[in-house]
Amino acid sequence: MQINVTSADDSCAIALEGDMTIYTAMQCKEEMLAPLQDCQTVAVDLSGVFEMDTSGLQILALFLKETDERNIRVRFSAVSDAVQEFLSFCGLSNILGTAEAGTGVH
Amino acid sequence: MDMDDALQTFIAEGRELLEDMEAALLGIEHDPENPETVNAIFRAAHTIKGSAGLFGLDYLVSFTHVVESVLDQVRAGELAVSTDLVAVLLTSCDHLSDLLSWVSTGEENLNDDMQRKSASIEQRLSTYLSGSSVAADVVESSAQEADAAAAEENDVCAAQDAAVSDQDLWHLSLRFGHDVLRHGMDPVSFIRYLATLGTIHHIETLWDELPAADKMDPESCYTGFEISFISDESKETIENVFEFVREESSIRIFTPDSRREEYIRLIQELPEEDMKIGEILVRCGTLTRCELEAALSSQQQSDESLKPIGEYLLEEKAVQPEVMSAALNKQKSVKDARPPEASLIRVDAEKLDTLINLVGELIIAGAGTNMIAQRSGMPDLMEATETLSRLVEEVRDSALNLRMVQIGATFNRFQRVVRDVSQELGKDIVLKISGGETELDKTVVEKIADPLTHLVRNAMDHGIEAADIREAKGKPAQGNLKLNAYHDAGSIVIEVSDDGGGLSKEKILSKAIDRGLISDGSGMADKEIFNLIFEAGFSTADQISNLSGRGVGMDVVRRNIEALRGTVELDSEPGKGTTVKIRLPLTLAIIDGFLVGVGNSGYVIPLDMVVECVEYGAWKESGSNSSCLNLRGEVLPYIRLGDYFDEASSGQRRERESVVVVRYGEHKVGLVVDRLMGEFQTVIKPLGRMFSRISGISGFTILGSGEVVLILDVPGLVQEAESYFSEHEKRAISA
Amino acid sequence: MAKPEVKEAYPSGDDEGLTQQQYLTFMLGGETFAIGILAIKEIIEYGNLTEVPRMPEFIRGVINLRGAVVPVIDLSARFGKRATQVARRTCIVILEVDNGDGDTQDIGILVDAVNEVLEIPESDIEPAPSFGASIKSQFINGMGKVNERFVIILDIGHILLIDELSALAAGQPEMEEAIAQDDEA
Repeated sequence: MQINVTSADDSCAIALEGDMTIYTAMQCKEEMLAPLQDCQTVAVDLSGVFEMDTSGLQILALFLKETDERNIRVRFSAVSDAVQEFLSFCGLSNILGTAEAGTGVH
Repeated sequence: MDMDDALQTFIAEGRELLEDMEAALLGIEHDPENPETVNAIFRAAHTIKGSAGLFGLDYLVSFTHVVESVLDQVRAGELAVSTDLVAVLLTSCDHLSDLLSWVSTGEENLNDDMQRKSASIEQRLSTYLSGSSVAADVVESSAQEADAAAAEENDVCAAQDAAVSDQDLWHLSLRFGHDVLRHGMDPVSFIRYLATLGTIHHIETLWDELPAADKMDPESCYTGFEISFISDESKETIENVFEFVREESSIRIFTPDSRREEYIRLIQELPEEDMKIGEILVRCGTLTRCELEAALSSQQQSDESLKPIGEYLLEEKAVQPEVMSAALNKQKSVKDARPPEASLIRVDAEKLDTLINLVGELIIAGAGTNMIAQRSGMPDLMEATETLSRLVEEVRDSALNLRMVQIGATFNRFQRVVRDVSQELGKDIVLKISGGETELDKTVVEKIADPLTHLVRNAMDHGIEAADIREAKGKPAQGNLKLNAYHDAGSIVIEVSDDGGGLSKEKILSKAIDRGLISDGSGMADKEIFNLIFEAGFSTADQISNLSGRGVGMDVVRRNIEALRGTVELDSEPGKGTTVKIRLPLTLAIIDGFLVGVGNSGYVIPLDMVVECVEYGAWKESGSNSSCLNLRGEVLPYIRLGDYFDEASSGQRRERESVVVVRYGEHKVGLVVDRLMGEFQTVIKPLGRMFSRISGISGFTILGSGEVVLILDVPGLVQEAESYFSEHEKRAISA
Repeated sequence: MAKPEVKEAYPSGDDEGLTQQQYLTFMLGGETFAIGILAIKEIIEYGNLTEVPRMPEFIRGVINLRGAVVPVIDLSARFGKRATQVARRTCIVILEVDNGDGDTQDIGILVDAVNEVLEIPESDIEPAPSFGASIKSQFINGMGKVNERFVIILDIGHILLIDELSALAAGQPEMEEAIAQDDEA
């Protein structure tokens, strides 16, 4: 799992590459939440995530919950088909925000 | 049976199931419509999963579960069998085998490598699970959701009731245990599996239990689901989906005819706020808004009308034995469905070997007793020992029979080889198997696999042409490879044939001359020419391909087969194909031997290789000084065993020497011996490591007198004499 | 890698109860040798030996030990001395040795006479001398003091190393002599 974080001023971009599964959950949690300390907007790129399981989904949920509590604006810049499919299977098509959802990247 | 024994049995049976599964998988490609094949595959996976569960082998359970889920979709006809799917399933099969090997290490958890492998295959499998049908369902359900939302706006209970009531909706309320992820199970994969049993009408994912970031353990499960579901399956089937998480999780399943009170209880029991659950139930279509409101108000009014929670749990408990017995029955039926070999007993091979050894000793002791009885001249004793001998012979035959196994299992393994190799080569080749029921000694079966693999790969690589060439030649594009076995006069014959291009005599000849194997090909029969490829030094570097070569030539194949006291020969017809015929003894343990005396020692020659015995004096080189005898006009190379083995009396000419003519394959050689001592049953004792590199001797045997004698290695001697002979011929010609 | 035989001669510290070892002493070419008894299966009279042709001198042949074919090594010849002359007291000591595959194999050794089984305390065993012994020092496990005299405790694992024996056994005479000697065209 490769998590690239780039930040500028009060915004940052998180790009995930790899699988969001139980094997990477610990890493995902740490590295996705860390940049939230000092930023106002965050862009998340999930186009490199080709597998997700329940634990990955939980990390995503935690991420959304945390950003919501801290009033951080989240934008999902790109989402892979695999993630999109997974989310819609779980009835969560809309949790990434309606505007950006569906910009599937292979 | 203690747990360890049980585990060993599980591993052994698991392997058998995997073999069945692989065979069925290979079969399904050609016969995708056969429901029995699919069932067999499914049963195998299911049984492994079930048994693995009993042993708490979570990694095996979770992996097999995914495999099973895919298979179940295939079984239900929702997923078509494709080459890709079979490939993934075969990989899964291999991985399961690896996992079984892992079980025997006794490690509780997989190492990273294995885990990664499991995960990656599971992912490949899950792409099938999430295939088109599910995606369609999602679309459908969101459409329905929209409908439902529209209906909700109207807030007309009746309309909603109509919309929902014509669908029998199940409701599943799932709160997974904190540890399920750690146990290698992925809740969503269970729901994906559930989706194969029907249609998910609506699903809501709940995270109300998700703690704050600092308290959240990424490997704990905090997720719950509320699902409404359309299915014709029984409650047991649906409950069984969650078989492996049931204990640690809270799984509530409501049948379509569940009463309102039960949902009210659900609303009460769930940790989330009542209203929220109520809303979810409405969104799920499980309850209409009217029903919900009515329910909530009635709940406030008459709490006493509700059954206590405990009673619900009791109900749930009451379900369990039923589910359990269903599961057991399922397991049993899997066992019953296997072929009648169920009445087999598993015996340690070592025990069998001990028995065979004892029988061998019995034969020797019996022969000794017979000898004494003969000498005593007592008719009663002779009669008694005769009866004994007959019984011993019967015991020997049945004991040897115990080791006989059908070659079919070995043959079937080649389905996989052929499949993989033909993909590798980009050729379309089918393997046809016949004579799989032919039996031969287990030791032989084990040792024949390697040479057979080589021959099969060779036929595919060099024998069968690429499809376009085949078509150009007017042959069907699909190549045929055949494995056949049958019994023939005390030996078993195994044939590997292909319908490829055949061998080129010219090429073989020029190469053989090149390599100095022969001087020229004139007067050689076709068969002799073809069989040159088994000569040591024929296979050359430029022939070694990745597939068949691996640096091993056909001479190694021949040597391996000869080590089993077998022979190999090849026949080929240009344009039509090639057949390799392997002839093997039925058993390695006991043979008929011919005892000869040389100097002070006895030697045993396997009787089936003896052609005839002639008096040596009769032709005594007829004045010629050659390395050969003239046997009725036929040139016969010969070996003086006395000289070859440096026997004490060597050098002096014996009075009545005899020549034992032995035949091996196409070659005949004369062995000059001092005495002929007759035939007898020979129990072969292997040379052991100390004598493993000895030449001219293939084993030991023990005579009735208790004396150890040596068994001649006829193939080795023939080869030595032949090469010596051709050496000389060449010298003679060039001189 | 510690062979069982080595362990007998030098019991490891944790086997406190086993500070003394029993040894079989026997005669070979006028000298006394000893072998730890744990490796010994049985002792049988010499007889019924079948020679195996084209073998080096130290491989005397094979015997039938209750249905099993057991090779017999001439220890004296193995030590590079004169081959053992069979006499009235000649015995074959059957030993169980590691065959290098984690399995064991029975091998017989030919000795002139068997003496007795005795205990040699560890304290009475000295390491093998690097030179001066009548046989190669790698064949010696130690020198045991018995009645003020030294007996050579043999390292059977080394002497009967199967792979080495089989390699030595592989040296074979030429084919030339065996086939048609009178061929000189």
